[in-house]
Amino acid sequence: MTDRMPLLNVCDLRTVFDTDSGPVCAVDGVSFAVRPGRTFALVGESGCGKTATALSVLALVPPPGRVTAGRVELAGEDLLALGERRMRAVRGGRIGMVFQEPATTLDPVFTCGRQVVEAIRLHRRVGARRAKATAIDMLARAGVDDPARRAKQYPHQLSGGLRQRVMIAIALAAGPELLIADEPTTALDVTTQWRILRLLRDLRDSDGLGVLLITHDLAVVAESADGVGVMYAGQLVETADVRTLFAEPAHPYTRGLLSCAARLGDGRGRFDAIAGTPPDLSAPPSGCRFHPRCPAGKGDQRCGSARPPLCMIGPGHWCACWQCSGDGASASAVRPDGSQIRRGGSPATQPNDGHGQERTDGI
Amino acid sequence: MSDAPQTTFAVTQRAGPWARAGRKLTRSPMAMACAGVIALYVAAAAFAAFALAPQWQTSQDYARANQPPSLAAPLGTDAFGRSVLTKTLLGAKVSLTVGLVTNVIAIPLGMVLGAAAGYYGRRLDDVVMWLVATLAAIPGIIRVIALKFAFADTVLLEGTPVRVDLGGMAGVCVALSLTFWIGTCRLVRAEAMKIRQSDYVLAARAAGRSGPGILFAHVLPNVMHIGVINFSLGFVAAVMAEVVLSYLGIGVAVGAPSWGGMISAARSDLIVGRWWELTAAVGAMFVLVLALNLLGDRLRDALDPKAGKP
Repeated sequence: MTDRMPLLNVCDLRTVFDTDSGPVCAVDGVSFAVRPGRTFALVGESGCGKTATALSVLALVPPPGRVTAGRVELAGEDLLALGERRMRAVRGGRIGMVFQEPATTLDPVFTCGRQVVEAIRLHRRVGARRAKATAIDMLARAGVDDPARRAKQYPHQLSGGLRQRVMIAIALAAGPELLIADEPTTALDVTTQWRILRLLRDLRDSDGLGVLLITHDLAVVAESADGVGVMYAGQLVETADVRTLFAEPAHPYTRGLLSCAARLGDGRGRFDAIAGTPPDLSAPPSGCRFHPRCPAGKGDQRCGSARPPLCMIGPGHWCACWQCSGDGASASAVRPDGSQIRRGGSPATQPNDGHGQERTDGI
Repeated sequence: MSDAPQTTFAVTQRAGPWARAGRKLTRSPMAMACAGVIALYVAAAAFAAFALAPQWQTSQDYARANQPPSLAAPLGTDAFGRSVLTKTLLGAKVSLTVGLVTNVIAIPLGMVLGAAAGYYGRRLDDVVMWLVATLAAIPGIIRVIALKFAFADTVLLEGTPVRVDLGGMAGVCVALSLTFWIGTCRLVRAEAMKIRQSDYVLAARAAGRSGPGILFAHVLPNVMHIGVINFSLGFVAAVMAEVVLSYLGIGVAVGAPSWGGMISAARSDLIVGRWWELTAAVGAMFVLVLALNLLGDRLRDALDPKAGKP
């Protein structure tokens, strides 16, 4: 679907937390695009910057964090340039967000219905009665059975799956264009997970929503995403459409992640874990951040000294690894000025507009 | 499409935290008995405002001075021939008024300042906490006396239709409320700092709520139980503080009927065997304070989220 304009375009986003032990770059030059009616998944381990990326899109990075560089465009409008006041209209109004833990993201002292009503009335001028009717409709659309009764109940009276449906109803209350789902199914059991993912997919297809799905679960990605970006230590290391990524993973980290995934009946006695642990982001490794754990490219000088650029290695398939960018496949995709390389995080990115040219090397 | 085992118990009864607490309270015989006693005091205080039977009068009548309790004067008369029963009832009115007005000022003040300080943090927190520390650093009795005289005869809400003229009580109420908000403020601030970090506040921000919107729509409703509990505790404290201040002669206007004033006057009476005025004032205060305390205790149990389900 390269013909459609991206709904959300994130270019070379950089988010830094100024901690007591120095700046920690939680999101380091991440670029991707989410198209309307499509799901883009950000995958990675805990602490790799997925949630920080999502919060950066909404300009909600908690202090001492701040976005220091990059662009976040929603339908062509730069969100990072908006003031807090106009950003509030975007949050909830044009971008809805669903969080990981439905048990704590609903306010315990109000009924579910009232929380949906408030989400509606924050962004639309409607009377209390009409908002209430709309809220019950939204709950029904989010798959809450008997919504009129559920609306009168408090969060603690609902199951985890129902709470997440209420959260989805709240996120969609004001008719957003983009839905950010941050680990929406992690706290749920597997059958409920599947139902929630199917609901998100149905809503996406019926409303033409763009979905930014954040997860560490490759099964969730395979189930519901169209495009995938793999993050490691704050950086995007590989991005492709979902079939390509699962069929031909290029980056050693992606390959490692996929080989960790369980497959029923493949006869392996144990999983191939990736050796080592993710790096401390206040003192990341030089060069490629994955190189201390990387099984490939041993002995390659570049891995430890320079950050590998994100290069196109196939149609819509980009990878930041010296081992897969060194050969001829990528050469044609690299523009002479080198700028295309680093900002090409998404399939068919628009021509460069001059951002993201700094920093060829790691730190 | 159902996700979960149905929770059907909730259909028959309301499950909000307030409805649940109310249910718990009304089911507690002790809480209801205490509420009944307090209601009696309120009725008596209201009743005392009207003209009473002649033998209960409060005008001075030396012919009837220092009479022990009798049918004509149920709690006896004082050194000026005034009915002790009437004085006790009027004292209840003073106590209840001071308790109510003090906390109506102190609790909202403490809650809003505490919640704002805890939620916003930074400079606002510094300012509020500086104010708290400064007020708390002045010894209690000196602070109350100073404030009492500074605000003596204040007319509350002057210039508005609800204008409240409490006469000699205003100074006491303002002085006590400017003291009592501190405790509520500290507690609410600590809770608000916790709520600031909560997921539902982040979710509210992601839904487009503004800072003040979150403060009033999410933080304050979630600390409301602290306010209610502190109201009940503060009520008792204000009743007792008023008695102490009046006893010391710096409470409500000298000569106005108040339990503290009655106890003070009865000090010398006791030596010559006139026990009834002291007994009436102390007994009235004891029963009221006990009822308020027990009710406050039950209220705290009912509102405690960690206590078991009803």
